[in-house]
Amino acid sequence: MKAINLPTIKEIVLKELKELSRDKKIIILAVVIPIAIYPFVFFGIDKLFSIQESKLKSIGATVSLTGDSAMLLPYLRDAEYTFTFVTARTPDAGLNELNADLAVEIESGKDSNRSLIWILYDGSRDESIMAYRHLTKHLELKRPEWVRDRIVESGLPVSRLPSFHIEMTDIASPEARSGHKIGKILPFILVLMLTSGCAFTAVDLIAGEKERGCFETILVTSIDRRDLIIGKFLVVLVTGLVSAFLNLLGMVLTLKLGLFQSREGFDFAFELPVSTLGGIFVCTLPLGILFAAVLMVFSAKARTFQEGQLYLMPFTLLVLIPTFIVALPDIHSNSYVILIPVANIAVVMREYLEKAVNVPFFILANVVNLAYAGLILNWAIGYLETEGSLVTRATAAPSRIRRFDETRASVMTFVLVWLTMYFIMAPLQEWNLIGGLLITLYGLILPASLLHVKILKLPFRETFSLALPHWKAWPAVVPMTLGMLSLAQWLTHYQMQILPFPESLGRIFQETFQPEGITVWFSMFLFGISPGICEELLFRGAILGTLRRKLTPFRYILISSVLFAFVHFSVYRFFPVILLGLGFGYIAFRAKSIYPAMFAHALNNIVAIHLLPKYIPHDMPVYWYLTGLPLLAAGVYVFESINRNRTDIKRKVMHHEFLE
Amino acid sequence: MIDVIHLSKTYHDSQRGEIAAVDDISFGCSSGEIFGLLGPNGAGKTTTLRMIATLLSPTTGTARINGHDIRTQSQQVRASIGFLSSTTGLYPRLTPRETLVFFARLHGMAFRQAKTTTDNLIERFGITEYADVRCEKLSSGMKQKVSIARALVNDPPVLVFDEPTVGLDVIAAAQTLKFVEEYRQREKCILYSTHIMSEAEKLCDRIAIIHRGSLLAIGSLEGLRNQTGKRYLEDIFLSLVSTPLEDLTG
Repeated sequence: MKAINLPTIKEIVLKELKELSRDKKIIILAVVIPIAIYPFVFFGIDKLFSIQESKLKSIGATVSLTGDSAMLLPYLRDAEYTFTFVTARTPDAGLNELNADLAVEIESGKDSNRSLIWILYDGSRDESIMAYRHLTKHLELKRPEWVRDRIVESGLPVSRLPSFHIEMTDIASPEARSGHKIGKILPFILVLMLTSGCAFTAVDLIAGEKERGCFETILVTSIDRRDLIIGKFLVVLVTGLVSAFLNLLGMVLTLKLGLFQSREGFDFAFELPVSTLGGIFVCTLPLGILFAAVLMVFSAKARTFQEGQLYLMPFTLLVLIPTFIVALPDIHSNSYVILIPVANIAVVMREYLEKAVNVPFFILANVVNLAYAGLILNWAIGYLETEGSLVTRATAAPSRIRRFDETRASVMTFVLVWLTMYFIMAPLQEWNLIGGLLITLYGLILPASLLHVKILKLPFRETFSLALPHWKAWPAVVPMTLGMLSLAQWLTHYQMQILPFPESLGRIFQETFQPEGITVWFSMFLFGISPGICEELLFRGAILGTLRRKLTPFRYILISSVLFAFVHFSVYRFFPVILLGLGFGYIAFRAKSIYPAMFAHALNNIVAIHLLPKYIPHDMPVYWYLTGLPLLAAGVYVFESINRNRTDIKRKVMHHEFLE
Repeated sequence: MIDVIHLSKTYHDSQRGEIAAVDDISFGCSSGEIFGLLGPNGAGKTTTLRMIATLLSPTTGTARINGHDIRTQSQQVRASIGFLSSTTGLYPRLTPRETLVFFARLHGMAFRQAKTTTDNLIERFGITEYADVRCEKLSSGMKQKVSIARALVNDPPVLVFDEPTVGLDVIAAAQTLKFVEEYRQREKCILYSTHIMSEAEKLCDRIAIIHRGSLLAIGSLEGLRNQTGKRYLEDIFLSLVSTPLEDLTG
């Protein structure tokens, strides 16, 4: 791969920043508004609250009293709120005929000395809600006085009145308390700031330049398109981060200056210690990369600046949705949340602000998000290198010949399958193993393989290697598979020294692969033949067949094997599965057919599940597994000889044609 | 300098199916020659030039520019070409001087060399007066001068002009044509696309008439006159366009 040209990227970045700094819209959107908006917003809200509150207080509220409720009057005279009392026959009459804001009725208990104060209010009117809140608050304050008066009325000594006193202590530190509050809103604000910061620049730098004709001007120079895209991407990222940082600064300063006070109904007061800014930045960076990359693609898809702006609203809404997760009660970082882009950062950021950070999850969330960002950026670069994205579609329709880079498309297919397996199929298998496994294989992996080939418009038979192999390939598969299996066991043994396999997991494996109530034949179909067909169609068919078009055999077999290992969701089986994947890949490569690889896969699974536990003693010396080596060598010898024969035949044919 | 060999470009449209924007065209152009590509709007001129400038990839066929293949050596091809079209815009918030320095730097020149080249171009094209005014404030004629200077910043051997006078007033258009002629004298290989017959008549050494993606005829003005028996290019063009393609290809 060609190295990127840093001086060119620097020139592009400097030129873009120079142009952007001369654009009033950018200055207003990215600098002035972030700094100025918070004092205005917070101060404005604060003022509005005060005005509205004093207005309502001065007007007061009319309370209709019915029946015995007049006995409440002595307790309500010193209320802070201005209440005007009227008497009505029924609460409804008070509300409807006398236009009262509240209606109060008391039902005295006949069998007990407990009274029920019944308050009717109108939840659709602020005046009624405000009056209701003040009335209940005041009555709560007066409850001891009321109880004492009732005791005195009944002639009992007040000293006999049983009582308790509640005293609450919040054990959270002020930082943690503040962090809990801010952690619920900061991710939301940061995502909004980042998207708005990146969005305008992204749209201007590609869609805007397309519209102004400048994009074509730079495309006809000799610079590498990737350098151009990286340069523009960096500018989008920088403006997004700067805008987010300025927003944060504006908010912190506004709150530090005390322009906004905490008040009932709008509890927004929080502290954001300067020491936390580093951690927040660490979390913001992968988000910025992710958003900048996606927005670049949206911008490239648009023909004009206006069209680019149209894409922004759905994108902003889409990325805001995962941030709402932090507002849910009892959400913590776990292995599920950590894989959801944006949500993972939101959760670990909240934990970080609450001083309850789980360091491995914090690192993992950022790494995962960075991986998503890298993947999207890689895809964005691939997409932006295609002619359809670069030249305005109004004058040049995109060619369908090379819409996606095939290698990237394979990785994307794998990621989609993997995410679906992790989030949907794994819980489904936990709920119902047999059904879940069948759905995973025949409802996800098999259709995904077919769809991948169809969408990329690849030749079906060639990609899946659906040719019949040389007859010798079939017997050669047997020693080869047994050899691979032995070596995989040997590898597992050494891996156990570093990363011991938990006993509980061993039991789970045993229960999974030997479930009760199914016959041996069905088990062979479920765990042997089905994965052999479906998984091979995906890994040695769709993925390997696509990678083969661009990469060398070593690379495409290795990459498909690593992806194959990832889909097995087990760190303990990772390297042994890679080894098996390499073997299946080699078989498909040398046999020029997927069928022997399917046979090898099915055979491997059946032997591993049904024969190994029964016939191989647990305490067998490790070196016995190395007996697999000659078996493997025998298999490789046959496959190589098949290939040699083919090459000879080809040479002979060519020689014959030449002579003719 | 320019060898276009069986070049075709097909687009896929979901409603209309396969559309051949350019259909198997071949021609050549050498140093010190202005080769005109004449055709109405939508004839396939811009698509051809975009393939030559490596903005679009051909469906079949290829072209060699200054010895470089457009399919496999796109960067070398772009380094050999100065491309100017009616849609190649200037950065509105940069000045002509900044624009020229920026493009010179992109072509790999050191800062000092980029500045010297810029100063020379500013003087040669007579844009000193407004060299430090932002491009958004320039008239279309001024902008076109800056655009031509921009296309020449790396002194490429091949110049590709795609309808460079569209939207210009008479004086600005005449100035543009003067520059093109001047660069023929400097032994540049110039591919000039236009739909304006008088421009082609006045400028081009040889003309290719393109219609609906296919080349109908190639030759000097005299040759085309002999071929069609018409005197004026407009009549020549109309007679060719109305002739069925089979008759022309034999």
